[in-house]
Amino acid sequence: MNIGKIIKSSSHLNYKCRIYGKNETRVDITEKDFHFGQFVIIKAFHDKEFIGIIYNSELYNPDYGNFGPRLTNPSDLNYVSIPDFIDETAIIVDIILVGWSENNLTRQETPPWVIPLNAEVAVMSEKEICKFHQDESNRFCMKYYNCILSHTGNFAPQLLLKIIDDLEKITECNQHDKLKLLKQHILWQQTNVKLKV
Amino acid sequence: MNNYQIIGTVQGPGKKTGEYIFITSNNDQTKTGEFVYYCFQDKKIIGTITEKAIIRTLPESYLSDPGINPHDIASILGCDLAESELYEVCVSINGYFDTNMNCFINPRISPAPGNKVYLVPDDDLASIINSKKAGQTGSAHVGSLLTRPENNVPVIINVKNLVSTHLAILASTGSGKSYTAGVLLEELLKPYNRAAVMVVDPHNEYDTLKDIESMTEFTEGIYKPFINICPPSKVKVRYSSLTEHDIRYLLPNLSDKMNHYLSLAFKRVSKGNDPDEDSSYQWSIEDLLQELTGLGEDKPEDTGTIEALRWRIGYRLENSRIFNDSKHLPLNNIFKPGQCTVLQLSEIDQTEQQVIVSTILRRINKARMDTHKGYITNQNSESYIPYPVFVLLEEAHRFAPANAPSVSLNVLKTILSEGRKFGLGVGLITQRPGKLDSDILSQCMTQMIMKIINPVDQSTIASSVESAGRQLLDELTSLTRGQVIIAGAAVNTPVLAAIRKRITLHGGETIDAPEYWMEYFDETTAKKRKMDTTALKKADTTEKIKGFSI
Repeated sequence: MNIGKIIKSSSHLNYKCRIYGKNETRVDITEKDFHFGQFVIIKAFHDKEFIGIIYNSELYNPDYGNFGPRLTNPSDLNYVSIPDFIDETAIIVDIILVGWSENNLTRQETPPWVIPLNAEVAVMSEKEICKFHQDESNRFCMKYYNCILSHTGNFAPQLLLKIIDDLEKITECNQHDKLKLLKQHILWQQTNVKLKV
Repeated sequence: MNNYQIIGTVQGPGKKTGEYIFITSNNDQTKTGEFVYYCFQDKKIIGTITEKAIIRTLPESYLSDPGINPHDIASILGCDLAESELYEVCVSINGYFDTNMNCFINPRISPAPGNKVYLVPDDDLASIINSKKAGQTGSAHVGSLLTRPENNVPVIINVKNLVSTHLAILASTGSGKSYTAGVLLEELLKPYNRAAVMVVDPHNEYDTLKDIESMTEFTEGIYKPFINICPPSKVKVRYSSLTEHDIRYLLPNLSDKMNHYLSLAFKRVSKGNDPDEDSSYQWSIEDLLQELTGLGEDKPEDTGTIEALRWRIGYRLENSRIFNDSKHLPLNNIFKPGQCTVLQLSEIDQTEQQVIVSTILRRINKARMDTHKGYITNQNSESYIPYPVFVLLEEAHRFAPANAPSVSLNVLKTILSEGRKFGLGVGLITQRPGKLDSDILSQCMTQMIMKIINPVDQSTIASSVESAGRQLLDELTSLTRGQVIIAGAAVNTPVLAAIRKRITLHGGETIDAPEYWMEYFDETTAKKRKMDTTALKKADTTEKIKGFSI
C-alpha cells in the first residue's frame, strides 16, 4: 500500500516523504500505516526498489504562527467561491535507506543510486521484511545496524529497539535469544554508557 | 605446516630496547615463548614472543550469554569477520643465528612498520634452539617445544655444557622434577653419552632406573649401562675420610674446651694428614678416643670435659651404621663411564646425609683434580678417575641451605666454582629454591625450571637465574606438570618445553591414598587380613580309643 511520496532528501541516505492526505488515496492512510520504525519500499525505477525505515516525523503547517486578523472571506464562503481547495498542512516522515533490491534480490547495503522526487513510498509486508532480513545463505542479518547508528542521530537507540521488538514478532524463534541479547546491549549502552558508534 | 607462514605485521618498536610489536589476528600461534622472525638484509631476525594484549574485541555484552556465540551477534550486524579480535604482540629480539659462532647476533635495529612477521618453521627452529642433533654424542633429548605440536621440535640439551657448567632443576613438589631428572639420567646413559653419574637419592625414587640394564635402547655393541643401586645399608664412610669440621658438625653444641680437645686429638690422630690428601692413611675411632684419654691424663682438671667429649663421640660415631674404621665407598666403584650409582640415603639422619655427601664430593673433587693434573697416575688407585663425572643431588636445599650451617655447603661452592676445569659437574634438584644458597644457585649455568607457586621461591629464581627472560619466568605459575623452562648454557636460547615420556618407570609417583584406603576394605583383602590375625584354635585334647592316643 502506497503511503506517500518522496519530496526531499537531506543526504544520500536520508529522504523525506510526505504522507498522503485525506482524499489523496482510495483508502485513507491511517496512523497505523506509517509509524516509527516502519519498513518501507520506495519504488524508484522499474527494476529497482529501495528499502528504508521511518525514523522521524514532523507536521507541516504553513499557517503556524499566523494568529493575526484575517482579511480573507469566511471559510464557508471559500468552499463555494474557490473550487480547488488546497490543504497545505502535511505529515512529513524521514526515511533512512538501509538496502535495495534488484530483480528480486535484496541487499542490506547503501544503494548506489539517487531516488528521484515523487517516488512512491509503500509499506513493506511482514513477509517482505522477513525476506529482507535473510542473506544469501538464508541467515538472519541486520547489517544496517551501523548505518542506523551513524545516520539517525539521537533516535538511533530507540529506532533499533523498535526494530528488534518488531522483528521478534515476525522472525523464527531461534533468533529470539540473539535479538534479546542485542536489545540488552543497546539498553545498557543507552542507559549507562554514552552510545558508542 | 606452511614453512613460511606469515602471522602478523610489524607495528613498530616496543617499549624496551630490543623489542618490537606486531599486530595479528592469529591467537592460536602467538603463544608466549613462540619463535617468530622478520627479514632484514636477507637475514632472519629471530625473536621470542614475550607478551600479548588484545587491542580489538567484541563488546562485553555480546559475551554475556554463554549460550550464544558472540561472533553470531557480530555476524548478524554485518561484522562477518572470521577473526574479529586483534592482538598486539610484543617480541624480544634474539637476532639472527650465526651457525659459525653458534649463537644469536642482534642486529640492533628494530623492524620497519609493515614488515611481515613469520612463524619460524619447525626444522629451522630445531637447528636454532639446539646445538646438538638427536642421537649425536653429547646430546640429551629431554622433550619437545611446548609452543609447537608434540614432538614437532625436539629440545636437545648440550651435555658437555650441562656437565661442565652445572645444572639446577627447580620445581615445586609434584610438578615433575624427579621425572625430569629421570629423563636426563636416561639420556646420559644412552649409548651416545655413556656418562659416569651418581645420584644422591634421599627418597629412594631412582631405583627404577635399574630397568635400563635390560633395555635394548640403552645398549650398543659392547656398551651396556650399569645401574649401581647403593642402599642405605651399604653407604659407608670411613672415619679417616672425615675432617675435623665434619666431626664437629656431627657433634653439635660442643663447648669451647671440647672443641679445643677435639682439635688437639684430631691433629694427633690424623698426624697432620689431610683426609683427602692421603687416602691410604687410616685411623680408627678407637685411635681418636685413645688420644683423648691421653689428653685427659695430661690435664686431670679437664678430665670431665674430655670424658663428656669421649661419650659424645662414642654415642654418635662409634655405634653408627654409616661411619666405621675401614669401609667406605671406593670412588672408582661409584664413578665409571656408563654407570649410574644411586646413593640411597633414606632412613639416614639429615646431618649424616650432609656429611656423607660432603665426604664423597670432597673426595671426588680431589680425585678429579689430581688425576687431571697428573698427580695420580696409578690406575689401581681408587682415586684415579680419568674421566669427567656428574653428580645429581636431590633435595639440594638440604646440602646447600641458605642462611643455615651445612658441612656440604663449602665443598659444593668449591665444586661449582672450580669443577668445570676438572670435569666435575653437579646437578641440583630442589623444590625450595628460596631455601637454597643463592651463590650456589647462581653458579648453575643451566636451569630447568618447572611450576613454582611460592613467591619467595619465584623471587629467588628471578634474582639468581639470569639467563631466563623475566617474561618467561612470569609463566612459572601457569606451567603444568611436565612443562619446563630450560635456559642457560645447555641451550642456545631459553625455551618452554614439554618433558618427553620416560622410558623407564617413574619411581616417585604420588601415592593414591583413597585407592589404598578402599583396598583395605576390599573383600579379598579383608578376608586375608582376618585369617592372618585370627588366633589359631587350640588343638582338641587327645582321646584314647582302644588304647591308642588320637
